[in-house]
Amino acid sequence: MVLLFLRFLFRKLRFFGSSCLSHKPEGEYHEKQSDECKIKTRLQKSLDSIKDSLGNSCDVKTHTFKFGPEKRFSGAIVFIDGLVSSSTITESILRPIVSWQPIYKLGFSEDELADLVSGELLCAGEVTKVSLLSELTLGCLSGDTAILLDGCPFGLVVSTKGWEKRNVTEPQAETVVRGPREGFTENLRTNTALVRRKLKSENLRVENLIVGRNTQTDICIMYLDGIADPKVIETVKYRISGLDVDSILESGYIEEYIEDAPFSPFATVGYTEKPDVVAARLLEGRVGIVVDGTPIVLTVPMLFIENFQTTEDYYTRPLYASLVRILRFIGYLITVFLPAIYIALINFHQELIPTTLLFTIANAREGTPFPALLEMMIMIFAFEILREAGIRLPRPVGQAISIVGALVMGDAAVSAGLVGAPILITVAITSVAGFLVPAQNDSASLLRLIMMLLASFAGWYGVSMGFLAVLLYIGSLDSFGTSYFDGFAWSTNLQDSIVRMPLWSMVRRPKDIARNNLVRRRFFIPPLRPHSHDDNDDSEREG
Amino acid sequence: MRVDKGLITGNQFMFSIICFIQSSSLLTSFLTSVTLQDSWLIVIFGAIFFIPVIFIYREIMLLFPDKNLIQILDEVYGPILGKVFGIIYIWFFLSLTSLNVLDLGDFTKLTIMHETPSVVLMIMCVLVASIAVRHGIGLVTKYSTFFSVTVSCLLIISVLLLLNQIKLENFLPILSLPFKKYVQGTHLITTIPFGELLVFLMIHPSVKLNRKQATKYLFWGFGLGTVSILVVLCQNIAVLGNMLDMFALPTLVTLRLINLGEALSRMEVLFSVILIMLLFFKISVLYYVSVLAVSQMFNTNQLRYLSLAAGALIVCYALTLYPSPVEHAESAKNITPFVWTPIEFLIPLLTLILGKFKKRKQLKEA
Repeated sequence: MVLLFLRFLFRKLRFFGSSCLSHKPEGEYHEKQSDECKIKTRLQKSLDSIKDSLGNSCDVKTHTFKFGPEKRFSGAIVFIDGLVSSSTITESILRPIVSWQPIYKLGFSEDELADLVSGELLCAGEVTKVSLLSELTLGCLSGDTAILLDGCPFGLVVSTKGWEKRNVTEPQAETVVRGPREGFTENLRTNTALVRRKLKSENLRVENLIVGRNTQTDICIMYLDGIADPKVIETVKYRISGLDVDSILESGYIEEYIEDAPFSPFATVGYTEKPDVVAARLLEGRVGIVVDGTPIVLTVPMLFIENFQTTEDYYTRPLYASLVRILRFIGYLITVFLPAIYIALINFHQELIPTTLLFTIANAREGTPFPALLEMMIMIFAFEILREAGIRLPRPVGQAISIVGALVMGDAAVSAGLVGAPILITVAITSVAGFLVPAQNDSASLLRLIMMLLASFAGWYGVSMGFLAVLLYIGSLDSFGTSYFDGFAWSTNLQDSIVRMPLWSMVRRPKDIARNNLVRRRFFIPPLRPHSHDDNDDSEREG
Repeated sequence: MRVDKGLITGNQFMFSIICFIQSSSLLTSFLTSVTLQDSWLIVIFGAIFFIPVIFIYREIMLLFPDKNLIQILDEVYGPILGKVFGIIYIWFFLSLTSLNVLDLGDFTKLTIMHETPSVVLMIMCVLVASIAVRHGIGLVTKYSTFFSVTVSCLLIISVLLLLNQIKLENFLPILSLPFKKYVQGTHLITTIPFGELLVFLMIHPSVKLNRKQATKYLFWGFGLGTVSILVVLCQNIAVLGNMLDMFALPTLVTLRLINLGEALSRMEVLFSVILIMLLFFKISVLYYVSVLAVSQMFNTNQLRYLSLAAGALIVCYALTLYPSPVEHAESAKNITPFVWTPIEFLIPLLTLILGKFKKRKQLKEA
């Protein structure tokens, strides 16, 4: 009901929003760009207009120099201090140009000078010839160096990116016992390279988009050509390139703008911090969205089942992996339903509790003043406070918080007669079980509250109805044209849903994601048995 | 114009039929109170008598592969008579929905929520079902597999756990009741659980079946559903014996008897959850079909807006149908089968014959 109301509100707001948005000075912005912004032939004029557009910021450095035979040409480089590597500028731009001694007769116009410089003098990997001042400034702003030559209506943008960046480290949020420990960093190129190192396939495509009027954020869309569904790729490109936003600071911004169900408690866009996860998802036909400036990479389409799959499921042996996965499902059910079931039992169905336990619970509840729902709410609220406080605290203070949480909130609350011990146990199990599926923690805490309310006024029946409603709601969600709940469909996907079958038995990709190219391998190949050594098993393997 | 969209697979269709029959299998008191320990025989008789009816339904599905029942009636009987029959069927669908909502309300009130007014329970159920209706038939049938597999697993487990309480002499004496009772029982089982499969004539255009598939899915669905009714009935008879007709919910009582070394007991909670799920499934399919029939009749595709209005109607109708559960049970035994007979068997048969003639005529003209 709350969701319906929100959706209603959202529709109305969207209406107002769109009427407001249409007044944006978008036209002016574009006009200013195309109007008189070509690079001038006079060097000083161009430099002045660049300085003008960057507003004389102190980190913009320009350097004018003379070069060529008898120092008769003059040029200038423009760059932003801190974004460039100064050694690259010295070694591959300034030194070759300034020390240039032509050995043949000079018979070229000043127009051709730019081609000569870029083709014969510069020792850089990436040089672009541009004719607009705005391109030149954008290049400078993203860490490149601009070269301007007197008398030439073109500028050169040389790639000299060299800012301080974080090394590849183990991600804090997704730690593993077995498996690669590297995580993405804030640098876009490092991230795409990390994925490419996993997938040395010629079909890996990386496409670039730039979004954000002020941030001009680079966004890379990665997919495996031939496996990913072209429709999904189209949709992703359409939704991202259609964005008219001020800023993209993190991939969360993109997620919010492109997701299918903005008011759903369930996220319909997946995210991860690990290159091996992205590689595995690309191999199943998903599309990755890498955003500059954040180590979080998005993947679409996302299925509900993805919340319960971790990389380690595939790195450990299938039996144990299946057991752990079932545990995760149970953990999720517990974290959503246990408080509700407790309330339902206490309030409505006391006859279902074994008699001895009933006496214990009644004993514990005798001294407490509040109804079960309120007690449960208080404890869950306290736990959420502790958790939120624990996340953002400086490390050394964290210990104090856990002591306060464990002793004061727990033991003291019981001995003071504020809450009963059974409630405390329920809340503890609930919250610990929630950590089995960290990706769904937000949806779980919301659903838990709704279920508790339902249980408190309609008992077991309310919980059942709530369960059915959630089931129907999840079933109705879509993620980029794929049904969100289809991981459990009666199809080949069952090999990798509630249990994980051995890797050699998964001959097909997930049916709903890689629609056009389902076959991973032609044959079902069980591992070779040791006793087949005396047979001609090598020839079989070749065949 | 077909007003619904979306496709469902053949498997989902089959499991929906299974779920549909299973949901009545857990509420069998209407049958066991008539034919007592011979009820299992009645199920077999009923299934045999129902096979020709399935053939009628299949032929209608194949004759009009892309039309639902309301459109078929329109085409076969012409616009005026077709609309009259259409209204009869809309009433039929709505009352089936209301009856099931009433069943759910009564059952829940009787077993787990003694003090809650049943109108609250009904409204909750209809509200949740309206989510399903608004998203179309594909959403509900998606879960049919899940529901029917869960129910089957629990049935098998309960039979295994009750093995120590099964007394085969409870089946005796066989065939000792008056002949009239057998006729009444067979009529009951063909009209009430089986005949309601008529609603699948409303959603078959979403499945797209050819002759072979239609036969396969209809008969497998019907067969497996019948087997689960049979299992439940046999279990109840074998465990309860001549106490069978004392209870309104014999299956619940049977499951209550499960007690395995203090560890496994109170299985009836699971039963209630399953029954709620199954009845919910049935209600949402019936609810969807009634809304679909209404919107088909008036040629609008505003299913979403009709759904809440229809839900309100269903709850009100359910509340005013019978003054008490006793009268409900009596009418289910003695009146309902006769009202349902023309709607479930005679009109479809007539429609099939007339439809065949019409199609043949069209072929000749063309």
